[in-house]
Amino acid sequence: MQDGNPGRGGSLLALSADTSTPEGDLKDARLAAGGDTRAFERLYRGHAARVHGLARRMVGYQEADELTQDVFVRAWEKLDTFRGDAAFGTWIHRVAINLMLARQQSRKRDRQRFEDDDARIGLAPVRPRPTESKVDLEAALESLPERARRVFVLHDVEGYKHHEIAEMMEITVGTSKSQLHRARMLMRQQLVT
Amino acid sequence: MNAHPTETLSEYVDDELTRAERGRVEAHLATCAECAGLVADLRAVVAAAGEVADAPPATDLWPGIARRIAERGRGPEVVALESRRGPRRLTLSISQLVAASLAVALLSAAAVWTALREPETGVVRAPEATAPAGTVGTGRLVSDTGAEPLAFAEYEAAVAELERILDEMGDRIDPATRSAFDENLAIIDGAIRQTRRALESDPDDVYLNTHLANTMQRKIDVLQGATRLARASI
Repeated sequence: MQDGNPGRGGSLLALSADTSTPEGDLKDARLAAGGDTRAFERLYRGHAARVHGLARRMVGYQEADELTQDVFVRAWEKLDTFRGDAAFGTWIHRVAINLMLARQQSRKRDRQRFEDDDARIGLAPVRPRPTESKVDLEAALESLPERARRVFVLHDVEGYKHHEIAEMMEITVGTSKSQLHRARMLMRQQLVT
Repeated sequence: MNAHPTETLSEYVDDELTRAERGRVEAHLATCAECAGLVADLRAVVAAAGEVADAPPATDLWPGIARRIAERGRGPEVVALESRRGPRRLTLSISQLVAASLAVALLSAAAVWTALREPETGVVRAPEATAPAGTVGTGRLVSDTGAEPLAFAEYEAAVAELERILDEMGDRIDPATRSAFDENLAIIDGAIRQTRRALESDPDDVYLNTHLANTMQRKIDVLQGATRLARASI
């Protein structure tokens, strides 16, 4: 993966511009690694929207709050491993994705909701064209089968390459490509009328 | 091309096809309005995905995060022993502490069993306390296990005596059991070293002193258990 937030690096910088800077984040991360919760709160304030947005798209609205909290708790636990080689935003983004993928992997053992659950697709209402509303795109995402949804979010929203997705999700590049195409076709049904 | 190249259209949109493949798809698109429309739709989906904006959570999640990190300390894989006077940290793996605790539990049971069978001749006792419990930072340890506090020198002497006995009699213990003793003693020694290192920079920290005392007492307990087992094998 490139150093920086793939595909959405610009939006990350724009988001963080109001609340944090890479230099400030690095300082706060070091303070937080020493136990300074106020510094860690500043990091949370600067990156909560980014992490929460990712969580919403990966797992849906209902679980996004809990997952966002889990991500920041996990980040707190792993702050000792943050060396500052990449931006804090990049680092916590990867922490978030790893946690989300691991969580979903474990859930696969607990429920019968797999990628072939096409029946769910027909339940979602028809949406207007995608450029008209980001909320509608996120709502349409919730109707996707899990694996296709994850690949779509990682590739088309987060900007990861297929070989990176394949590594993260422990699938082949070919599977990543086929799932992406499948997701886009399903999204097309939802968004393009 | 007669067949619709539907499955390759996403790769076409992403410009991931070879030149030859791309040429074939474009030749098809030139004559197939259905596939050309599909490509336009796929591009619209990709564009929409790229325009997704982030928004902060509707409710402030920080209070919950703050509560959880206060409860957890530094991580699930390590136990953080935070100095009360600064950011210095000591981390001991849970596996180390669990192994040490198991060793103490198993050996305590063995010690009780042998104690019921034999008089406690030759068992090394902790030296009597020479300063009030609670004294720290003066070379005297305070354990919260209820054991008598030991001075560092007394601890070292007790350990040396137990190790001498174990060296003399250790071959009477089953090799596998002896190996388990040695392994757990090594774990405890590692914990003692880490705690001592932390105390070098913060010698008056009550928590660290208490932890060191407890860990040292565990070593005494393990060594006593081992020597009792050796005696029981005579």
